[in-house]
Amino acid sequence: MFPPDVKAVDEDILSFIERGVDHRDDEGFNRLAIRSFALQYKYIPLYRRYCQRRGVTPGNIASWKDVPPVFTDVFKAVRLTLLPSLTVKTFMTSGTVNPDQKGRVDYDMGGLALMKATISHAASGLLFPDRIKSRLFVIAPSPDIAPNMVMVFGMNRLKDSFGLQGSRFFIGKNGFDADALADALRSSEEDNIPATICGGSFGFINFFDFLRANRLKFRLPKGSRCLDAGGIKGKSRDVVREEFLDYCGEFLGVSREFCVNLIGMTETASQYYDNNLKNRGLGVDNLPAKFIPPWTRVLVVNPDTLEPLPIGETGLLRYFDLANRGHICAIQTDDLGRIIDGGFEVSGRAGERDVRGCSLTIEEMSRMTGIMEGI
Amino acid sequence: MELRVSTNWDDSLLDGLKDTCTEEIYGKLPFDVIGGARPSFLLPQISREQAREHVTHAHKAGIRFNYLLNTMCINNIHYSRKGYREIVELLEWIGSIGVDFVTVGFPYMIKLVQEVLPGMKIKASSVCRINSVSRAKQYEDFGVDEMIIDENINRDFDTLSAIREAVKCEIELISNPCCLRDCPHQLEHVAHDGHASQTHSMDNSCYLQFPYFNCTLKKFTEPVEIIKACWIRPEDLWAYEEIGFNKFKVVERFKKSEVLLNTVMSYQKRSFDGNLIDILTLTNPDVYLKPNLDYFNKPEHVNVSKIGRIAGLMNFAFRDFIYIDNKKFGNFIDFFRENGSCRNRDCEKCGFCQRTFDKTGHFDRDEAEKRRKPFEDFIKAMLNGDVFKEN
Repeated sequence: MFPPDVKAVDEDILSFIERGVDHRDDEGFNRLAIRSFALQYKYIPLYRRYCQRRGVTPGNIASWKDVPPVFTDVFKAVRLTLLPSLTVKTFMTSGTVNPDQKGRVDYDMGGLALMKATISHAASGLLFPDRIKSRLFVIAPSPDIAPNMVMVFGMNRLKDSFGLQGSRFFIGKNGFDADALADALRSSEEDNIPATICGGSFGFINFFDFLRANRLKFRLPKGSRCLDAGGIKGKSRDVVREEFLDYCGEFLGVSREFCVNLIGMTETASQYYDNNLKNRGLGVDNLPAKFIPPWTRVLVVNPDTLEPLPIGETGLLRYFDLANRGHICAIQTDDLGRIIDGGFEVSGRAGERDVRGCSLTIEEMSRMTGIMEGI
Repeated sequence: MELRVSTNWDDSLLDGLKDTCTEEIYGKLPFDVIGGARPSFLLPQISREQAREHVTHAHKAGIRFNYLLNTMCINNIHYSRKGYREIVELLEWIGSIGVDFVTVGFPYMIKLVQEVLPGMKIKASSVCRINSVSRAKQYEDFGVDEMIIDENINRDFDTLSAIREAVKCEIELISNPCCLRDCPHQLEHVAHDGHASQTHSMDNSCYLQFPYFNCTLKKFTEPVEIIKACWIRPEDLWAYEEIGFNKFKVVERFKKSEVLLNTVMSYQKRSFDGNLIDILTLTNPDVYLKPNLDYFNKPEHVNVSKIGRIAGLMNFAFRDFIYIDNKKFGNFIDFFRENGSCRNRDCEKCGFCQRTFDKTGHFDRDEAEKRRKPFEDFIKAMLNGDVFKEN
């Protein structure tokens, strides 16, 4: 049975998310953040112990900033799930750093509904602020091939929520079908129906290589756009962002103002989109920043002390995501970044040795797990 | 209160609407594969690109756009490969230009839009004739986000209340319709208008508007019919808000921008000082956009010289011989709130609308009678086939 206290918080978070991306309600956010933390403190014994050791309880903090964060790598070592017996979906991390060690994040029905809402509302406000529908072509494995990949879940949600007929995934059991994607883009051109191409950034690079090798270029219809997720470094040959945007123009006919990058991670239910399309709709001409949706907050902290840094300074990014109700809302990453006008930017990843707190936390959590299992 | 306003595709209309309580504008291409509830020759002859730009302009003004697919018959073309493909092509185009809502006229279109345009908001048109709890609930079950109530029950407060209580989705009332109450031509009229704005049907005939000429004749010779029509005065909006309705639609898509804006402002201010006729849809060439009379040049279907008189028939204004003082209605709406539905009342025995017209109206019967014969002659010519005969 779904606990009524969890259901009540879910309903309020959902209403908050459904207000879209154009509001700012610090008080409302903080109230929900503390309520979510209280649930996680109540239902996740390991996290409770972890917080107690830091002297933090839901009753003695006033701000979401005081909620103890958990490093992303901790999810590789322990299971931090609010309602483990009610899990309906599990996502696994890709194990970029160590493929043998993958983290897992579980979602119950309510948590999954929150995640779906974040995907829809963030995309509405940041990828499709002009409200167009398009054929959505995904350079990623289809959900039946990669059911536990959070990016695939998100892209599938985008396809179902915003894609016209003909929308589909292009990585199947036999790999990436670049020919089929080229055919689909040709149909879009002929039918004058905009295309939205989305996928991992490295998937785009593979496709650009294919187009170059086959001397193919497209001029996609007005309103077409690209959404690339993540980054490129370490996956395919290194391509800087500027070059990536040039390729979108050269091979697809999609101007840079219609190219959006997003970052997401298995440990957070929400995604962070570039705000350039949103700004375009508002007539604002700023450099793109990663937009912070109203149901999330981002803190930049000192890698050594994990204390918040002044605005503008570079440090480790920490996310607080209300849609993470089902596991841990406060997620500490080892991504480097800083707050800038309109949101934040990511500048790279801190080396393991630069983030002393991370390995210590994993060690602490693992030790506590052992103790608790002993109990 | 929120207003939904017809667009005539003039961007300056949007500039005027942006500081009002207009939440939505609605409109459609003059003709497409689905058609709508106005014949194409009455609508501005805009292109798809102009439509796209207007939708963008609406968004910039903070107003959403609703594309009308509000016909009740599509000639069964959806049961053919070609027809289906054309409908999907239209829907994809609608989706690709950033339309926020579509208004549909029958359940198949709801399901098709859900299939082709995921996430698109759907409104059930007034042509769905939602006039009972049962029908409202069925449309809600189909998944519509909003429904427009059959304007024929605009003064049936018991039924309106019951529908409002029964469904959760948004509901819209048409504020300024002027169809004859329970008009016997209404279904036929809507079907005819639909075919006269469909790419596959509009040139199969020359739409001579039998319903329009009949209802117009009745209204200008028996002007109490204007009182009986189910409009809502700006001053009476409160009565609807009191039972949970706060979304009102302002029609007409072929009126000039300044006329539409004046009507919107009357509803926004909840007050109109003047001839009630001026905020309703009653013939007046000064306030209508110029129709596309080229449409009637169809010698293969009609005797063009004989139907040339249509332009002359339309060239008059009700307001020239009927004046209804909107400020003299007093507590008009209370009669309907207190006495229940007119559905079971005989107008001749009741006489309320006649008394209201006597109190508020001025009618130059001689002037009206001058118009009667040409109308009757034209209606007769449609029936005896004279309009089709070669010279």
